[in-house]
Amino acid sequence: MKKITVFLLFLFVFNSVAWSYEIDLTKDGQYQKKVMEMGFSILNSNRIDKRVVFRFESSKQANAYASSYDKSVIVLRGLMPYIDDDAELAGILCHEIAHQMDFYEGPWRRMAMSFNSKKYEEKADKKAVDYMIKSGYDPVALITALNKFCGQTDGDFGMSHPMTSKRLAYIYEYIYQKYPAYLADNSYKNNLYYQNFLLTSRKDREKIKNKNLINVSNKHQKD
Amino acid sequence: MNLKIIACFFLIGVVFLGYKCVYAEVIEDDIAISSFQGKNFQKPLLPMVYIEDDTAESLQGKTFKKTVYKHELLADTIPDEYLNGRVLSKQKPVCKMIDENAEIIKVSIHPVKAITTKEGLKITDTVYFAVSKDVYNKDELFIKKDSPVSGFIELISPAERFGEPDEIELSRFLTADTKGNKIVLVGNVRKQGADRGLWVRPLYNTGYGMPFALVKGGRAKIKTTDEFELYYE
Repeated sequence: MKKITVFLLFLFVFNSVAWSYEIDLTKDGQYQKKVMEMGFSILNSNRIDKRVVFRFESSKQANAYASSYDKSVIVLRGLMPYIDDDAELAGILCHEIAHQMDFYEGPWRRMAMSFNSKKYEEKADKKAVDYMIKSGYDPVALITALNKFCGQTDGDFGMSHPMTSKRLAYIYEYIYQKYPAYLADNSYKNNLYYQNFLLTSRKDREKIKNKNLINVSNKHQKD
Repeated sequence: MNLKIIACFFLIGVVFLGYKCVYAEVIEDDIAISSFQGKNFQKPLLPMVYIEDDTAESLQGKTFKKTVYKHELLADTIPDEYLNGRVLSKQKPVCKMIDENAEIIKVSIHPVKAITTKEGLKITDTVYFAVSKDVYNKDELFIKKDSPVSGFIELISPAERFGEPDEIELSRFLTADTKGNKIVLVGNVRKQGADRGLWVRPLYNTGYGMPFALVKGGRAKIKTTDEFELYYE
């Protein structure tokens, strides 16, 4: 009788642990579906004729990355509290998809990416804006998303990514120059995180304004 | 013996359970509770700070359009003979139409004059091409040879250290057919400069080639003899 009681207790304890993981998996399943649907929709809208898959992984790190090994885009669970709307998640996915397009260029390009990672990060940020536009998302969401979870280092020497303030500035400049309608009629202007970006980017934005980048007579922009 | 093993597992189980309990515990701010209990504090009512985007203000009064992309059905191109009378459910509309049955007309273009990133080109600039040969649609002349084509600079990725070259990408090509109708050509033109990384990176990796790290790659150049294939659908 004693043995049976101990055995049942053992089963109870271990079962409860296992059960708690099942709950986590259910939640992750929903995120997996969301990430996957959004990712494939971006690929199709942009007519990207290369295979990319999307995975959601249960890690507490606030990050997403592109794997060159199996051309997958991996979103980590820790990122999700920083995501407030679909467009922000789309921004992250578009950035990683842009990296995948460079991975597809072959091992030589991958080596170049490791030597000049900052250049390719900038390229991926800008391509992400283009991908977002073509899949119907507001590109300003990329600014709000990055402003929330990318910290500010003292410099970017030896770093894989440019300083976040630089990244936000060139993304803003790219939207300003190429898709000004999204800033002229900005859906994020009252967003808390966008407001903070405006507060912290005044000097950068003044420089952008003085560059006179807008060419209204450009027939391609009118279209 | 068996009982000892079971007891051991039981202990492990209890430790796991304990870990879970600690993990799930809500930590109260007992210092704040004990210090401020019974005291009446009021949160200050501050006006909401609103920061104007004075850079974007310069865009006011100008007319821009947000690009609207149609959400359409992906065409299912399975030929009828493979269906054998089976009813296939329709795909959920997800994105733009990619109709593989649509006739694609290839259009070859070349630049009117050499395009190089050396000349201070910037994104959104328009550059000019010409149609390389007559284009026919069902035996009828559709676009004449030498018809002007305008292209839009989508992205310039600048040259970098370690021999990394400039990269230029163009798309949104526009031309006109023989009747003067505006024709949108689909496709991209991408070109990069000389990739000096081929010799710079191996030299750098030897350990003696540190100065070579500063060598930048070449400028991207599209020559008038370069031909690119776009299509109309």
